[in-house]
Amino acid sequence: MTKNKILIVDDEPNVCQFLAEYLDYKGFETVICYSGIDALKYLKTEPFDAVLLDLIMPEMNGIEVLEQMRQMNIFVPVIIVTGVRDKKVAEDAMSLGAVDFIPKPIDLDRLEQSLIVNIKNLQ
Amino acid sequence: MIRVKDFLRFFLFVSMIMVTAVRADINLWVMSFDNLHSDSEIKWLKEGFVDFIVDHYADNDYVRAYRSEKLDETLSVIKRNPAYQNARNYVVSGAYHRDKGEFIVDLQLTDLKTWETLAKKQVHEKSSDLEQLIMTVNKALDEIVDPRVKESIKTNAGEEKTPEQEVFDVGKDKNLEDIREMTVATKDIGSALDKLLADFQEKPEQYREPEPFSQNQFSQDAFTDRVRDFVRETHSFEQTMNFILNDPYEINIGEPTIQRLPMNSQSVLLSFRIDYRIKMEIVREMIETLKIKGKKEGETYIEYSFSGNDYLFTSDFIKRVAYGQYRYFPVVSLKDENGNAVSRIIDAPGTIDQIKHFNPMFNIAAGPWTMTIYLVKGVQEIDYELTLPIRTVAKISQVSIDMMTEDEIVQLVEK
Repeated sequence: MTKNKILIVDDEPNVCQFLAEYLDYKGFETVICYSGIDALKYLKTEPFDAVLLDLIMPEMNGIEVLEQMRQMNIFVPVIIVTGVRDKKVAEDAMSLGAVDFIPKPIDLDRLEQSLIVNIKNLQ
Repeated sequence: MIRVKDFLRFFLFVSMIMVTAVRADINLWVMSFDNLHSDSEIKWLKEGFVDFIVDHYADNDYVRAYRSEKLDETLSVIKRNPAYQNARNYVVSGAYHRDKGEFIVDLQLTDLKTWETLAKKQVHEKSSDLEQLIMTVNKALDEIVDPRVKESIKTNAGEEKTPEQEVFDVGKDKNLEDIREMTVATKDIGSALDKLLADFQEKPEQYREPEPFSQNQFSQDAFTDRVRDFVRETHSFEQTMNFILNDPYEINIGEPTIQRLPMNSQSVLLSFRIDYRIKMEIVREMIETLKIKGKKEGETYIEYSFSGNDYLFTSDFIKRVAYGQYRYFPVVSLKDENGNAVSRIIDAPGTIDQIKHFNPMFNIAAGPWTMTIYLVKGVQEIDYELTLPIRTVAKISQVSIDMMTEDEIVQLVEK
């Protein structure tokens, strides 16, 4: 059975590793990116079933990544995983196509549910 | 950098000591904390919290806390080590930020076996006192860890011990526990050694440069005014020195290499490089919170002097300085997958036929009215080489370094 492939985008290596190990345990395949620019390169060349995207990152923040994805017609469910708890930012992200907004520290059960629901919806 | 050709030319005390590991009921693997708002002023707490937690559990009989640099490596270490497998392994992750002057720290405990989130706790600390913040975080962690300890004790009481567990209980030797724990750097080298042992006959590998320093890095903003105030207000000269000497070195362990010995088919020459340097920014910041009488700085050193008119240097403190109790030397332990030391290199001044190899990079000299601190800048790169039987090298999976005083080294050797 093919595993669902998740792109994890966060400039914090520890957050990426933690999510990757957890998702690996839950049966997902993961790819880690530490910057928005690298994430876009991956998204251009590889198919993903979902993206976990941090908002505060150097060089290119999560909102800019979402805007670029839109311009590039990349339609993958994006779940925002962030320490920012600003309603306006959440609304901006949702208007750019994000499907969920999970605050850090991450509730792993909630993350798994969100992935299952959003990947299923896409399929 | 001179590579040491003949390992007999410097003092290498290699002892084949089988030291059994101390079994803990719960292992906490503490990851760097997440600085939620990328707040540069408190960026240093990412690693700072990890250090505080590891220190907090250093003397705990049931819980051991370890820094988890990379979670995949941690999982691999647990998998290969029965001592860890027999315990409960939880990952501690955390995140922090400031909101209107208040520190907010989130803690999470996750079971590494089931990936179940066992507990979460958020703490708020209004005080700007660093010590208070550390205490609050440690207390909160205790509150989520303690129920697991009780649960573990209850479960263990009802279980018969496996032979493996018996071994570890026997290993919980009081004498060994008396040795102060000061492991400052650890690196898993098992897989590298396995690979090297597999093909060392064909092509002895070239020495590899150690990776750039990445562990325990503290940036300039590590010490905010808050920390400076904390030191100034609550610490005397002696306390500040003790605080600094708790962990002044940043250590990086290079990849090992193995070479065949022409006249001895049963043994190999194991070499590895260790880089030592002072955590200069953090140490400078701390020293400069004190009232300095004089400061000299050269390309390779910084020297600070302090006056007895400003500080009371107790006779005990002066004696300790004079007896070298503030001078630390590296003890390099090559460990097997169970954490047992199969070989040790004690790089310190000894008594017979030796050349001292490691030079302390933090020195204090005491005079009747002045105290001088001498910091060495830059990196001290040391290549260690030792000849070991192939079967011993095959057992090595980890190298760790403890910085010890000469007294502690004597205690270690006697035991």
